[in-house]
Amino acid sequence: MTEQDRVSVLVVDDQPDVAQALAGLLELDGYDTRVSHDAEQALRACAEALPHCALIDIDLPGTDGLKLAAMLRERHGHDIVLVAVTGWGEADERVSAAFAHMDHYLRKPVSSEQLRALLPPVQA
Amino acid sequence: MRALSLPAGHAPHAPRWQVWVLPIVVASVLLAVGISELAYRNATASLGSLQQRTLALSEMHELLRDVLGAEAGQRGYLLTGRPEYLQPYKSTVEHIDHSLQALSEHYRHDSAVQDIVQQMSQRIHEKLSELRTTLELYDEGRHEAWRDLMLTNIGKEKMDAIREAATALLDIESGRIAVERQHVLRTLQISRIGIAMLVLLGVLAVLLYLRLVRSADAARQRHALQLLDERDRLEREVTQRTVELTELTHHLQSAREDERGRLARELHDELGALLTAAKIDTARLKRGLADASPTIAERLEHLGTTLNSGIALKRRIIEDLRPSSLSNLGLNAALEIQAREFEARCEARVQLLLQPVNLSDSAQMTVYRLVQEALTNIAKYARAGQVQLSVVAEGPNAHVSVRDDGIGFDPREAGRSSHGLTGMRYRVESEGGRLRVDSAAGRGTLIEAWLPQQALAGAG
Repeated sequence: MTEQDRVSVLVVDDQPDVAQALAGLLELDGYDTRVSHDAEQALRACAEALPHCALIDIDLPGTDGLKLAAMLRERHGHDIVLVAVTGWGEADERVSAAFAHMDHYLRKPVSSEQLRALLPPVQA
Repeated sequence: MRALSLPAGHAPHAPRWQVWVLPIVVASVLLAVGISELAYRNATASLGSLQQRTLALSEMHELLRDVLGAEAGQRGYLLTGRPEYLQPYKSTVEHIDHSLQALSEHYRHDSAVQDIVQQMSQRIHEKLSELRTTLELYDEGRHEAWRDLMLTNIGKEKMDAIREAATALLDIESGRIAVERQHVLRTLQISRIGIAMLVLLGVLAVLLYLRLVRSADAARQRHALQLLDERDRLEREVTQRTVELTELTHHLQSAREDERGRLARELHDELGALLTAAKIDTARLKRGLADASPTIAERLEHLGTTLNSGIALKRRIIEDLRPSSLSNLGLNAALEIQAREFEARCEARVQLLLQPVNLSDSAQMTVYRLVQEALTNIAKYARAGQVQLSVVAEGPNAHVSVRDDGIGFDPREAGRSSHGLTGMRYRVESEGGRLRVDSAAGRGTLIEAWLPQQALAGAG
C-alpha cells in the first residue's frame, strides 16, 4: 500500500471519549486518523498535513463546527471533504447558511456502516 | 271561470269529472239567464196587456156612469124643466159616443167580447134614443106622452140590459185579468226558481273552486316539502362528502409529507454518502496526481466542481422535500428562511411581520406549504415588486397572509394556479381553518388563511 492510497481523516470533537471511539472505528477500517478537540487544534493539524476528510462535531466550545468549516473551506477550498457530526434531529443542513460549507452530515451515534458508505474502501 | 280553469291547468292529473265542470257551469248559467230573460219578457207582455185591460175596464165603468149621468140629467130636466140640467146630459152623451168608439176599438180583434160590446152599444143607443124621445116629447109640451113613455118601464129594461152586458164584459175581463195575473205570478215563480238555481250554482262553483284551490295548495305544499327534503338530503350528502374529502385530504397530505420525508432521508443517506465518497476520492486523486499533466489536473478540477454542484443540488432537493428548518427552528424562522431564499431568486422584496403563534405540527407544515405555494406562484406569474408576509395571532386563530403588488388574476377563471389554490384550500380546511383568495387583474393578490391555534395549556 503506497502513501497515496491511504485515506487520512481528522476527527474534531471536544469530548475525548467520543473522539477516541470514532477514531478507533476508523482505524479499524484502515484509515489514517488524527484527533483534535477544538477548532484551533483542527486548523493547526490541517495546516500541518491536510486530511482528505474531516468529521466535525457541530457543538464545539468557542469557535463552533460550522464556523470551523467555513474557515477550513476558505483556507483549503474543496481539497478537503467536510462532514458534520451532529446530535440534532434529521436533515439539519440548511438551518444556517454556514451549513452550506459541509458536504454531508452524520447523526450521532455514528456507525461503521455509515462511515464505510462515506469513505473510500482501504485495502488493509 | 278563469279561476276554475286555473287549477285544472296547474295540476294535469286532475280527476276526469273536472273536465266537465266548466261546460256544465256555462250551460247552467246560460239556462238561468235564458229563463230569467223569458220570464222578464212574459211579465212585461202580461203587465202591458193588464194595463190595457184596466184601461178598458175603467172605460167601461165610465160608460156606465155616463149612461146613468145622462139618465139623471134627463130626469132632472123633466122634473124641474130647467135647461141647466140638460148640460150634463149633452156632454155625457158626447162622451158616451167617444167611449163606445174606444171600447169597440179596443176589442176590435176580440170576437168573443166584440159581440157583447156590440150588444151593449146597441142597448146604450136604444137607451139614449129613449131618453132623447122623452126630452123631445117634453119640449113639444106633450107631457102625457113622455110620462107614459117613462111609465112603460122601457127605460128600466134598457138600463138593465146595459148593466147585464157590462157585467158580462166585466166578468170576462176580470177572468182574463185573473189569468194574466196568474201568468205573471207563474213567471215570477219561474224567475224566482231561476235565481235560486243561479245562486245555488254560484255557491257550488265557489265551493268547488275553494276545493280545487285547497287541493292545489296541498299539492304545492307537498311539492315544497319534497323539495325541502331533497335539499336537506343533498346538504347532508354535501356535508358528508366534505368531511370525507377533508379527511382524505388530511390523510393524503400526511402520507405525502411522510413520503417526502422518506425520500429526503434516502437521498441524504444514500446519494449524499455516494457524492461525499466520490469527492473524497477526487481529493485523493488530486493529491496523488500532483505532478500530472495540466489536462488531467483540469479534468480533476472539473470533476470536483461537478461533484460540488451535485452536493448542492442534493441539499436543495432534500430541503424542498422536507423543510428541516421547520422542525428545528420553528415556523417563523423557517418562513424567514423561505423569504430570504425567495428574495435571492426573485426581484421582489419581502416585508415580514411574524408574531409567535401556537399551531400544531401539521398546521405549521400547512402554513409553511401555503407560503411556499404562494411565493412560488408570485415568482412564476405575479411580476411583483413587493411581497408582504405576515403571521399574527387573531383571537383563537392564527392569521397568515401573503400579499403582493403584482398583476393579479381573476379568481373565477380556472387555470394556472387554480389547482394549487384548491389544494391549499383543502389543506387549510383539513386543519379546521379557512382560506380566502382576493385578487383582480392589475390589483395584486392577497391570500389569507385562518387556522385554529392549539389550546395554550397543551402548548405549555
